[in-house]
Amino acid sequence: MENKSEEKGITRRGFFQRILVGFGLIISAGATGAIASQLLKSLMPSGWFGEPYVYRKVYAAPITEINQVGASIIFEDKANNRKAILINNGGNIQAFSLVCTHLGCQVFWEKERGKFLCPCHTAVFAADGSVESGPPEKSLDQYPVEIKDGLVYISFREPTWQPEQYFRGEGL
Amino acid sequence: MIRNFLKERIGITPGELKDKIDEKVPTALAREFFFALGGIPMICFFIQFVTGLILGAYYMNYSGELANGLSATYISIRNITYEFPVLNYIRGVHQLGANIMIVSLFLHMLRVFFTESYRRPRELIWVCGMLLFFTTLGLGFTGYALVGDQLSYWATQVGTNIAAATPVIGPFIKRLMLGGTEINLYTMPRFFLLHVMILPLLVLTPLIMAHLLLAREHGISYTGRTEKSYYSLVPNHIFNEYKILWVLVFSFVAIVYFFPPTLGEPANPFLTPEHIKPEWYFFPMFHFLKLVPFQVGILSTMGIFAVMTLWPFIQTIMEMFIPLNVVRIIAFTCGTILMVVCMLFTVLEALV
Repeated sequence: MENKSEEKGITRRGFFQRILVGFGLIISAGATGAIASQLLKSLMPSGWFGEPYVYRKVYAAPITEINQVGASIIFEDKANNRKAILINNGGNIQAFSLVCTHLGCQVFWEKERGKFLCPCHTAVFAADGSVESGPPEKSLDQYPVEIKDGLVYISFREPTWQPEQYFRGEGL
Repeated sequence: MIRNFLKERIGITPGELKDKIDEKVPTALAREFFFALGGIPMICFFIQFVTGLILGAYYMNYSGELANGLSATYISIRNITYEFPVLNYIRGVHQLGANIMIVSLFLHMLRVFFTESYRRPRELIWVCGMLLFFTTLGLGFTGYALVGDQLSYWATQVGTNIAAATPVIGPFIKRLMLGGTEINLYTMPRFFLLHVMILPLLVLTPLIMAHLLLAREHGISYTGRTEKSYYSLVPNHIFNEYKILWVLVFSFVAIVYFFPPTLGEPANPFLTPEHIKPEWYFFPMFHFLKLVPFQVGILSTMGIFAVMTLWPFIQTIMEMFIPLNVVRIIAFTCGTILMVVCMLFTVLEALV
């Protein structure tokens, strides 16, 4: 063959064939990657990096119920998956999430001791939400509280994406 | 006639097939129980497969409300457990089979570790075995999550939050498993898919095949005391395993007769029960997480798992620098300490 270059041991035809195969590989790898990432993304309804959170203001209780120092009310709205505790900490009304910051169990509010206890890994949180003992590293999530016309509102931090709404037909 | 028919169509007769897959098995396997423990998890897997097929025909993976404030999941399991005939036995055997599968895996691992059967050239058999072990634990976890009672719900919550603590990819894995940022309606179908399809068929089965083929390639390592003699795999050893299958099935059914499966309170996302516990085989990890800061616990558990999986290679590297006897003492000590600590944590957790 006249095109053969002896030193490299490769023909012109072979060279182009290799380039073609190389391009083919790159293109098919790209296509596979693109399709695979779309497939994976379709499995992540809440997005690659998690849904952004929004605050939703919800009426919780009249102020008269929580006026006294040390008083507490547990607010529960099962349909919308909302639960929080309102505590009057020395005249300052605060709302806490009852989800343990360790592994997501529900903490109990022990009124007599004025502490939160987590049954899963025996963590204890103080009335202001800070960690007293046990494995958690963060204090309990606190929700903003607003008092207006004698009514207490809690701003719940919620993911924007709620799968239940698709089952109720609201998301369509 | 049949022989000719098969020979002509598929190119092999049953006799030739037998000669092909037959191999010599050390007689010890039929006499010394500890050297034959590898077969039991596989028999259990077969039992799990059959009982799981039946349970799957009655299971519903919709965790939304179906009636009276109960989820479809919970109602389907309640019907399996209390309403339909025979099905409570099937569920009981499925539950017990999972436990016996893990017990026999533990014992098999201990035997292989303390007889050093993982040494060159059998390192990859050990690695496959460890992956099989983790997959089985994953099957246990996903199966537990499907029940839909309180313990199952909170085990899912805690388990996925543990997965979320994995560095870098943790939160992604959690959202992929849950189908959202929290447990929701898309969670159950995913756990169901993992439990009946992905883990058993796409992960466990290929791993079992690799484990068996590698074990066949290198032969079974026998380091016991009795003299070496052999018997044939087909039909003798297969028949032995078949006998074990029936012994297991009958004893499972007998145990389930006296200890039928039960079902707890329906899952309530607003109330964690006072005594929440995972299945017993997660006790060591569960107890360990109580004792140390969270990230330390997760990272060291993952480290221990990695060291366990790669132990044959680690030991080979150590042997380059340290005399063989010392390495053996180190391996023996590490294994014993890990085993004792795991047993201690299990007992401590069971007593709480």
